[in-house]
Amino acid sequence: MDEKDNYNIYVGGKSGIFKGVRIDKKECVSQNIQKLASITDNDEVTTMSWGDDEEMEVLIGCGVKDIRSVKVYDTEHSTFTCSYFCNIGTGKITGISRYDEAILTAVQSGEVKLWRFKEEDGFIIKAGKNLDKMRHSRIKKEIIATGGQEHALKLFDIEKRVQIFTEKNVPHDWLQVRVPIWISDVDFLPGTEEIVTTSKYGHVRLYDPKSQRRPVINVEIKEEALTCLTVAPREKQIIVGSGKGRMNLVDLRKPAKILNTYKGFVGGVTGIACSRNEPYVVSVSLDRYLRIHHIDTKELLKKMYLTSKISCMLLRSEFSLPANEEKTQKHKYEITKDFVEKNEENIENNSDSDSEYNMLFDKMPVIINKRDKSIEKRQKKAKYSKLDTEIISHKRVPSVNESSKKQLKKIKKSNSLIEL
Amino acid sequence: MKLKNLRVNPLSQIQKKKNEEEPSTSEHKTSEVILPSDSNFNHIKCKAVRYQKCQKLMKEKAKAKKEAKKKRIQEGGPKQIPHTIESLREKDETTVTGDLDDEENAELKIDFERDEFAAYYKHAYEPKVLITFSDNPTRKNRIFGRELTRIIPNSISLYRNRSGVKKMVKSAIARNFTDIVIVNEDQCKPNGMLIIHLPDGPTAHFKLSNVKLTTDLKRNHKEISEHRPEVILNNFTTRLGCTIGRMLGALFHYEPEFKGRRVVTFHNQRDYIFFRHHRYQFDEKRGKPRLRELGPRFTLKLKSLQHGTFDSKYGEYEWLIQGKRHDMETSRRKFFL
Repeated sequence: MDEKDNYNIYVGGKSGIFKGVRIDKKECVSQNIQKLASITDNDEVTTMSWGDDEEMEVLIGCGVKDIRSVKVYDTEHSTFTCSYFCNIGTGKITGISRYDEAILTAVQSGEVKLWRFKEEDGFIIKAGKNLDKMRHSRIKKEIIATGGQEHALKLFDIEKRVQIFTEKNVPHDWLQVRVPIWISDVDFLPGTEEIVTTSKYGHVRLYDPKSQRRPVINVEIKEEALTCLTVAPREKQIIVGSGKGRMNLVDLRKPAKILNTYKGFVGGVTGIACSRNEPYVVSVSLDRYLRIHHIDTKELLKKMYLTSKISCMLLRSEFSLPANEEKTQKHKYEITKDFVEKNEENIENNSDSDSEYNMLFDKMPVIINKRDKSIEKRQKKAKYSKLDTEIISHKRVPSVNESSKKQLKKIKKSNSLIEL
Repeated sequence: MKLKNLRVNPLSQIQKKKNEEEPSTSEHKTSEVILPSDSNFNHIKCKAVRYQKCQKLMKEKAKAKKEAKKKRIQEGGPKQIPHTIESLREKDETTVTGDLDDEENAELKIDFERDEFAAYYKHAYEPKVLITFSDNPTRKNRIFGRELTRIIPNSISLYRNRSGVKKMVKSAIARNFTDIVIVNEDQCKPNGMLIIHLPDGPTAHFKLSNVKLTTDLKRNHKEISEHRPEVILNNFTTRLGCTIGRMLGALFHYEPEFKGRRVVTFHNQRDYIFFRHHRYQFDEKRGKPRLRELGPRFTLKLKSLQHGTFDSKYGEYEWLIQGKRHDMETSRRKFFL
């Protein structure tokens, strides 16, 4: 057992199973990591996260009612290295992460605790009731975000143990009724301090703590209770999933827009993750299936039955689909090729415009339009000052040059198209 | 793309026709005379003759078939199995096969041991069922509810008094109910059934149709004894079907009183769940039991299965067929239960 397991995806189930899924060239394999016989009533996996950036450790939060526990699974040695009971507050564990070599947990009743070997080293932050999600910032390790039902988005500095940000609710709606809050998932946009939240009332909101307390962007997906979100590998794009089994790509650039809908779901989406480099999105849902979609084409690439209801999922960020590798490589190659060609064209154009063009234009006879003729006529009629005519001719010539340039470019483009 | 409006290339059509003709004329290649095939009378222009020939051919075919069957019976050959929609059912990978104790079903067993009905199947509690209606139930709906109370032991039928479902769930949990059945109606006919398992779900919504009350079947409710019935759950094969079966089973007491010889059947066929209520009697002369239907009878069709108690707006669904889910209904041979 002391070998490195090469699973791509780890899933946790409502019945307490903890599985690894390997998507290979030939087949997809799913295996139970935790032995089935050892599963007890209080093993329902509620949250999971990577313990470190190298993705060697999986932190698992288990249990719903009375006995909640935290387990640490080492993927390098394929063993559970540590487990302890999380006997603080009430309700399930809603967030788990590693901070300063210790484990940080958040429970539903609002207590965020850092667990140390010595009790006095750790600390407890009371974030407030109905905490449904706690997320750790990726850049600043000391910042966490919390949210929940009637629990506004809050940011805490866990080093100083102070609250540094609370959201201000959006203005009342057109009936002058307060807009309720029920944050279901929170995440930090990579590389920035901006935070995205999804709510059960269907709102997707983007907060920028630097600029204002109210959301910068607020989109609503009507009649859908959003349950989870993940950040897509592209800038300012996220993927959200709903309890009725709808998954959408949301573009958060102004004005925000709901884009692709990914099909094939039968039950509510419980976990989504994107690969960092490849355009794939992996999702698990309550209908016991794991699905892999292509982000752009929306195509369902793979579907896998996992026997139990899945509550959360972790994906290795360098995940890629091996069966489609060639395809994607081709695609990539084509893209790069196109890019290079375009660049070359640009360069050519630039160089042309410098020397060759001038030569060409010098050789070319001056085309005289009707208007020009009329001008000339006028000039003949006038025959007053040379200066005037000079100015006119000066004005005319470059314009002709420009138009001919454009024509040339067109010709070049068409030529290149024919070549392609 | 509109195919209809596209003009067909006449040349290509001619080629196709040639291709079609080839197999029928292949037999006459030696004589090199192209004859029309004997099974196609389209070339005959007289309608009467064409019809006559066609009828003749069909009769001959029927005769041949009959003879073949006769021959098969005489030789004692095996009976052929007809193709039905069910025998040609599309394979579902979630189908539960084999025994629960098998190694491949180990995970399923764990799932069953941990799910919301595990306590019932361990005989930890006796079910107590609340049956209620939509607001202002009509006569038929009220009678249907009362008949359900006769079928489900330890159940009570109450008016809803304009209370919300979520509120009812809360108060029912406080009063130790284990299930709520809500019968909805439209145009004075029961048309929907919501079954909520307490205390923490799941919730199933069924379409209810073809309700025949005891009186419609010309039976009397006095025939129905107060003994606890046996429950038969038929044909629930997939993983979803298992959950639904377990849910329906958990409405009834786990220990039937065999003295009453009452049996309640939920038979799943092509995703429709048929409910029947019988009294049986063993007949040793016939070798078959005799059945007497007691009523009522109705048909259920699953619309959605929700994780947790009723929360249609913000809840999470395990299975839902609603809205633009046409990709779920890919073929008529695809069944979910």
